[in-house]
Parts: sequence; structure tokens; C-alpha cells
Amino acid sequence: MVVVPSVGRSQAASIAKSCKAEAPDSWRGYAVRWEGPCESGTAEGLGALRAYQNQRVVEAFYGRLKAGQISFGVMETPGGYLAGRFVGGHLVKDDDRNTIISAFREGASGAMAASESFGRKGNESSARYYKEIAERLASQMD
Amino acid sequence: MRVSETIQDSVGRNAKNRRSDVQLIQRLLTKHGYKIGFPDGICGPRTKFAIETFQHAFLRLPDGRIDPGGLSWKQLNAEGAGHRPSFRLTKLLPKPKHGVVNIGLTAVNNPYMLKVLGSPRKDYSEDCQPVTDAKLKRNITVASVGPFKVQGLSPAVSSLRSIMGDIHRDQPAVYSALGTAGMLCCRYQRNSKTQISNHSWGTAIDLTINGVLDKRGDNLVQTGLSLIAPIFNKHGWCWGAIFPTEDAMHFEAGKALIESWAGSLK
Repeated sequence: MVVVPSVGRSQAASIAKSCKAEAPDSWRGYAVRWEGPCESGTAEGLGALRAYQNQRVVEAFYGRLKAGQISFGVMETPGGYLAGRFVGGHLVKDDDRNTIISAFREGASGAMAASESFGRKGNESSARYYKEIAERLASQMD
Repeated sequence: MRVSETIQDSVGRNAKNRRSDVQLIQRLLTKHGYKIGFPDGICGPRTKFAIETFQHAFLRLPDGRIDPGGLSWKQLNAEGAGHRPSFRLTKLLPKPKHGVVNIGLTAVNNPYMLKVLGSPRKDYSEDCQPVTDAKLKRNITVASVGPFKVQGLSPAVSSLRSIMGDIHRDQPAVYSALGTAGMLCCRYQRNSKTQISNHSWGTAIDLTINGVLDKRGDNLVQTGLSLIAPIFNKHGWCWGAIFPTEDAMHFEAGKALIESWAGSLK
């Protein structure tokens, strides 16, 4: 795990100027930002954690962070999605379709939370972008 | 797989495409599980697509062309061709065009499945629930199909086991990377409160490559799924890559299979 300070993008309820989140090891070397709630300076709750390279998102996690660690949701990688429960930054293998469906639901909620957060700050294009991601995640599983 | 014959000239895109050479390539592609029809010696879009898909197993930039003595020829003509562990199975390709996959297969829809197999249960929600219909329930089985265990309609599970056997033989690298996101799942279709998912009958499956699910609707497909789609097609299963909304992780039994299974249920 790489501990990275991320730029403060907390909910209105949270006053934190910066919010710590632990990025997966595979994100080493990337700039990481959290868009979601913050508790005592640590990312906590639904939102979007993104890995940036040259100011472009290369991978992202949508869903729930607990104590700054990715916990349940969807990681978007260049080859597709990893969905389910994460421990120590790694996906826990689980073929149960209900778990995967729930993970996409949680991922969609995380992306929507990020969209609403951007909307509150008047960043309409980012709000639209994350709303579209939420819709895509919600329609992944049949 | 190795044949003593060889090609005299190039085959594929921007190639000479001598009839006898094309026929030989078509025969070899067929042996590798690509469904390209009768080897007629004409290098049409299906043959070109099959060459390109095959090359994705070992080339970063496939050119859709096979030259005498070249790497693609050696791979195609070698035992275990295309089985390098290093090839990038989750690398994305454009989805195939219509007329290249699912040839001669018809996908099922909700009214058809309800008419032929009946409703698996009385009520549905957004989550997977078990089958309650007595007849269908008797025919649901849990079994290993090779790389993973599934729960589904018994004949569909048997068919899947045969498919996995072929994948193991023809695409072992993909076989070892395969996983599933589930087969049987009685629930509503996404964004619907009336239509039920085709997974409700246990005749459809979603696959993962190295645990990664192909993104639905981006019109791109994972290389590994492209490599095994012809094998599914050969067994009468449709690939979701060319559904109205691209859904490449999804494979489902075609109409002819469902029809043949319906009469054999206990």
C-alpha cells in the first residue's frame, strides 16, 4: 500500500483541506485524488479515487473507502473492471454474482457521490462525467 | 496441428491470396476454433478477422496477413500455437462486425424463453434469487466445467463443459485465465421491472479474463474473449459482443439449443 495525500475534495460536512487515502500498490508513481467524504483527515465513505498520470486518469476506484482504504466497489482498469470486496488494495476472489452485482451498485453510488460533489462546487463538466460513469456501472450487470 | 503443406504466397489483408493458400489458412484457422465456414479459398471478411484475432495472441500490432515462413505462419502451423503465456488477454480490440461472429445463430428474448421454458419463479427483484419453478428446479445443477464451478440448467452446464474442453485444447492460455461472474441468476433485467434477465434460466454466463470484466457498451472487446468466441459459436452459443449494446463478457445459449433442451428436461 502506498499512502498518498490527496487533494481535499470533501463533502460540505467535512472541513478537511486534505484527505488521506491509501492507493493500491499498482498505482505507485501516480498522483492520486479522492473525491468523496473525509473523516479526521482520512477518506471515508462513497466516492471516487483516481490515479493520474500526466493529468489524465489512468485507473480509478468507484465505491466505498473505509479508513482510507478501498473496500467495496469497482476498480476501472484499462482492460476492464475488477468488482467486489478489496483488502489491502487487492480484489478478494468471489464468484458470487450477487456480490458482483452489489459491487457495481456500490460503484455507481460512489461515482454518483463524486458527481454530486463536483456539482455542489459548480464543476458541471466533471459532475456530468461522473454521472455518466455511474450510469455505465449501474448497467454493467444483467 | 502441424501440417506438411505450406503457403506459396501471402494470405490476408493486402496479400496475394492464392486460392490454395487461402484454403490452407482457412483449414488451420478452423482447427484453432475459428468459425469461418467452408474453406472456399476466398479471403473474405471472416477469414481476415480470424487472422487478425489470431495474431493478437502474439503481435502487438496485428496486420491481418500471413506470409510464408513468417511468425504468424509459424504460430498457426505450430502445435500449441497462440498459447504464449505472455500475450495480453485483456488487451482491447474493436468489437467484430455483424456477419463475422454468431453466424447462423439466433439470440433468445424474454417472450421466447418464457414460452419455451416457463418463468423460473413468481417474483423478481434486483438481486439474484433461486429458481422456484418445480420443473426447472429439478434441472438445475451445480458442477465444475473445468476452470470454475457454475450453477445452471443441466444441459447448458454440460454444453459449457464441452466448450471449456475445446478452449483447454485450442486456447489453453485463455483457459487458465478464465473466471466467471456467474451463470444462474433470477432477477430483473437492468433498468426494468417487467423483463427478466436471460441468466434467470441458467443458460447464460458472464466470463472474466484474469478476474477482469469486459466493459459493457464501449464497443471494445478483450482479446481473450475474441479468441474463444468462435468456440462458443461452434457449440451454438451466442456472443454478446454484437448485441445492440456490446456486452462481450456475456455468452448465452442460442435459440436452437434452447429448443432442443426444452424437450429433454425431466
